[in-house]
Amino acid sequence: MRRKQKSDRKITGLLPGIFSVIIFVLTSITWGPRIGFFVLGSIILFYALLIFYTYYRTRHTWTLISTIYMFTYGSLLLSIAPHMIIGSKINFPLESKILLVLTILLFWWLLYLSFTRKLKWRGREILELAAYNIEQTDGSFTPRPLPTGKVNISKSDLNDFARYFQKNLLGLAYWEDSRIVFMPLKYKNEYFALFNPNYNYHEKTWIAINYSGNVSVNISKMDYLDYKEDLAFDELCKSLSDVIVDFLELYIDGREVRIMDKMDELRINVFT
Amino acid sequence: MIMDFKQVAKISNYLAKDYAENIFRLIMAYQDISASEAASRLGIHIRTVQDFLEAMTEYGIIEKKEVFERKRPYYRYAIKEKKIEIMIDLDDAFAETNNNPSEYTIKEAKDAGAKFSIARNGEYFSAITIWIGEGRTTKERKISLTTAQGQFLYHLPFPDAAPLSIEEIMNKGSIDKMNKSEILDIVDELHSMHVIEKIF
Repeated sequence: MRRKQKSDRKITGLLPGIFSVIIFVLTSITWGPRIGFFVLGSIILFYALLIFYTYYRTRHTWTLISTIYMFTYGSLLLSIAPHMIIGSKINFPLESKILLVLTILLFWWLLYLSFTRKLKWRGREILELAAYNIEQTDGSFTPRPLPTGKVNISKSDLNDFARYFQKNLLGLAYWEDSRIVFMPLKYKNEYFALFNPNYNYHEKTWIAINYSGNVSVNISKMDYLDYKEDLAFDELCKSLSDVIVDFLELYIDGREVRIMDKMDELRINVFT
Repeated sequence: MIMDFKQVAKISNYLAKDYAENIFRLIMAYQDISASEAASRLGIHIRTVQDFLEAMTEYGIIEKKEVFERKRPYYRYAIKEKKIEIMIDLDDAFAETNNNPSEYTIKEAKDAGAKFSIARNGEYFSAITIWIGEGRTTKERKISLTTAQGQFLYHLPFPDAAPLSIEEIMNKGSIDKMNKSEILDIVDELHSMHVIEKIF
């Protein structure tokens, strides 16, 4: 199937890693490998805290594995740091060896989870599904929401779906006074959404459902420009609304596995 | 006498003149009076008095009578209504606007460049910001919207969508018909700013 979205070549996902390596190299050159490993280990533990916050926010089970991996990896670096002296024979203590085994095991587990899309934010899939049958026009973007219809849903079902939405990394949900806003989140955009205190989700792509069942949709300019063609904007908004309402109905019917199937069938690159 | 805004503006303009009271004093004191007699009595130009008396005659406050006395005919003016009432019935003035269906459909104009600010509850717009002009001369104009206007604009069709009539959009937004006049006002304003496109 021909993709509607541009391929993702952003390196945002690699930035924390690149940043850590640069700091590690600089501190190792300046103060020696002992300090370098100590600093890198501290940075990794800090990342573990951030990833734990992601788990706390989403309750996504596999993110807890990421947290544990980062914690063991950071602890490993800290445990070997005192032994990293240039010119002397390195003899790691037992706890370092245990941490090394744990880190390797968790690394492979996480790699497996990544390739089975268990760690993937699904915003790209949702926007791809929304654009599936939408035709090209001469450009009609407008930066405002569109009311798209109404669904019959109870407040408790809507709350449950919002938790499901987050727990399966479809995106983030925001509870407002009279509605819940669902923001599909693309992989590599999660840093800004999760860790920026001034993040304004109202300007992003979202689908809001109020407690009376009224549905509104907003598509951000950035996401619209991420499509290869100028798609009919009105139709695109309605289609995005249909995708989420469809997911909602599948969830209420207890067929949430079909939601994941629909997105997996697109076979979008696991690292985008 | 029920008038429209233009009539009220015209008669008010005459009544606000500093000589208006003096002319009425003369007309009340005299059985009837000609424009030249009043002008000479008050020391103002005859044309000024003539215009004033003609305007008052037009609104039925003064009546005029053509007379022939050894010279060419002229008019003598006398008071007709001793109480001057200026009345505007706002219901009548705007009933046509509120009750008649619009003769056009509307949608958002393409590349309108307006920013719609969402209200706190997220279900209507609270304001719209429009940038007028280009380059350094660009000016920002922010219009605060009433709840009805905000709900109406929230349901305004997108530039590539099928246009809808004002009544259809009001129905979609569940907006009371009583609010139609304020809806028409914002539609006209935004149309003049090229934010809304009207299709006749």
